[in-house]
Amino acid sequence: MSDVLELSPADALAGPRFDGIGAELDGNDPKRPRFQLPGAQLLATTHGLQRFMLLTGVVIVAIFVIVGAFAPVLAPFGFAQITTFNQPPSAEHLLGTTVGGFDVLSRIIWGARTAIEVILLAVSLSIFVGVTLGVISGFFSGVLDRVLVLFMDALYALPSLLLAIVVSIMVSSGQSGAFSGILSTSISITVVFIPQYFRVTRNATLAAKAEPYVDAARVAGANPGRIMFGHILPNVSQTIPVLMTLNASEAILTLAGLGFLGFGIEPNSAAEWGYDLNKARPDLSSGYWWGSIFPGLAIVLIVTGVTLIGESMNDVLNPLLRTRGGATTADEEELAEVVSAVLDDAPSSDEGLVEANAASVLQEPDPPGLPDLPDLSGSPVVEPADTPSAQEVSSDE
Amino acid sequence: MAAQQSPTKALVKYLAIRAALIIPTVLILVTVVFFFMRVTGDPITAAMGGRLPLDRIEALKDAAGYNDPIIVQYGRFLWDLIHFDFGRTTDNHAISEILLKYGPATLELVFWALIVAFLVGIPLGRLAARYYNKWQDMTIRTFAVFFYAAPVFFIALLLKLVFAIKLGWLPIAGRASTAVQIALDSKSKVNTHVNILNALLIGNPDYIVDVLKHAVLPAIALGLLTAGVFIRLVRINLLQTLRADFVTAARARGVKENDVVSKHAFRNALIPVVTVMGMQIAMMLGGAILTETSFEWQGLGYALSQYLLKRDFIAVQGIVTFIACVVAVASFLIDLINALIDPRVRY
Repeated sequence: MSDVLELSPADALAGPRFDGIGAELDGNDPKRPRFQLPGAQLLATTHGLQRFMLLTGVVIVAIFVIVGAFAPVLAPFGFAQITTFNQPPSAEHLLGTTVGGFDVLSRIIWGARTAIEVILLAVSLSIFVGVTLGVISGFFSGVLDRVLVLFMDALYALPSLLLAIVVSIMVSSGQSGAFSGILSTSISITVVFIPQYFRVTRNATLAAKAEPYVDAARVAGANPGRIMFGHILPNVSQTIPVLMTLNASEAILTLAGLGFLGFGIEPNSAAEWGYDLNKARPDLSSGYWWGSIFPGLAIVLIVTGVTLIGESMNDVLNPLLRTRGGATTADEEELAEVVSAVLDDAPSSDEGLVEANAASVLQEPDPPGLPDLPDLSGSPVVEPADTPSAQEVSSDE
Repeated sequence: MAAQQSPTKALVKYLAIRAALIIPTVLILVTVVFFFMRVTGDPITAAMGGRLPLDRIEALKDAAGYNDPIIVQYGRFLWDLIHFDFGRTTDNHAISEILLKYGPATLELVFWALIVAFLVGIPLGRLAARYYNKWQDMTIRTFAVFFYAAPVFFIALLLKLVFAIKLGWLPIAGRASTAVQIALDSKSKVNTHVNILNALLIGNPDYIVDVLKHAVLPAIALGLLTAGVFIRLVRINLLQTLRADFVTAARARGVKENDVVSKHAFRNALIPVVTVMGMQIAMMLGGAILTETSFEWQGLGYALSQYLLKRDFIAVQGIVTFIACVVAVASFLIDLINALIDPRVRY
């Protein structure tokens, strides 16, 4: 990730850059239009399967957003409206009704609204708090920084569901009504994610603080607040979109987990998939499957959608996985061949392979465009390139 | 291994520092939990509010010390903690006894789940790397994304629906059949609370089979969650390691290609798996709460969810504090293993 985080002074002087994704890929392209749809650049940098994954994710999430937004129009019944009891799927109730008499399809549609609300609230709150604290902590260093880092590390070490439970008890004693329920659940999830944004922003701020443009701003007489939020913040915010999508999927899982433990939102104030799934569980053995399978599938689908977006963004930002030009590059095809060949247990082809590999290695010891593998040579923490949340958090060890 | 000081000395020094770091970590963790739980009020009002007259609640609060200044309460909390006293539940059980009774069950579940995770995650990760960008790779990656996206309780539900209800091959819930559980707890010379150990100590094959049968579905549900992470890690690290300089060097020395992969690359590609195990333990314990609740597996997570429903926040605080300590110690153990197998860690 190093070449993404490091900004040359020229980049920095070019002004705030919120379009971190892809900017370093086609930043030199003079034909690049100034204004684009958000995400259009991201899409332009993807190819083949990666683009398919990204688009699939976007479509899934878009469907859920639309369903959530138009829930009152789309849902045949209200989320707390009692219809008939425990009916299997039929023409009138497409996905059946619950033991408590709710229409399952309507609960799922209203649940989309709850999920979207919680994601938006939780992610924006945690970005706001985490990034602000991160910039302040990185900028001022000293005792404040030490204390905040220790505190955030402790929060991060706790299993996220446990932390969410503890915060939920703190915010609402575990009981919640309509909006307060969504708000308190969001706050519980927020606290889980704050440490991640904090770590990422703090580390980037530490690096950015030494850049000449910060000195320039200081010489020009800018106060610390302006330097932090006017100059440093725009330059350290590149990694946030990736973290955001990854957290969004975790937010849904945490929401569902809280609901499953009976700790989320009351059924009469909003529909929540995890809660519904848990309520349907005891009657599973008496053939009542529709009340639990459908909410579960809804969770799987939305998390898959958000994860696909996050993974694609991460692939684009991760130089070790980046593809250029066509669907795969020459290096990658070569690598794929080498890997599939060497992992083949057939010993007969060994010698030919060794020669072939030796030849390719001699010609091209470091494939161009792919940096050395720094995380395997010196750093004590060997970072998994594929799991950004782990990677972001451990990246400053 | 060519360090300035002797490798053993460096290792010992590293481990000593790392061990010393447990204390502040645990201290901060328990402090955070304590103050979070006390911000909005005392646990007695939370559990009994509205069910008992106000003066009765006040008397209970006085007796339990919840009317003392928060700093005094905090000091007492720490002092008790050092003596493995996590307080008493509102129905007057010592929480430390609950931990001793239910903790081993959670340990057992995590152990089985780890076996599943390793058995599924590592071979599949290797396979995905072997067929890099082929359909096998895509299938395995989709599988990994699915198990990340599906909540563990939904997987549990599907497993139960198929293997317990429809096919009837495996028990639907619990750690052992009722009769077997009673026998396990009474007949064993030492009650370890770990069913499989008790069964082995008694030596009755029927008990062992019964315990194993009950463990299969919970272990798969929780194990697949972690297996998804392992697949991704092994795959990406094997791909990267095969490009590393030392692999090239091994090839240049004429090491056989199979040995290059299995002895040089694959072993090194496994190191990150051990590294992330520290974080996995936290994730697994979180997953264990949901798995145990799904399967009524009577471990810490199950106990926690029961106390949550009863709004017994002293018990919740005790269990959360204990899990926090376990996470801190587990991550130390993982670092220790990591330092032993990877010389680069000893900085």
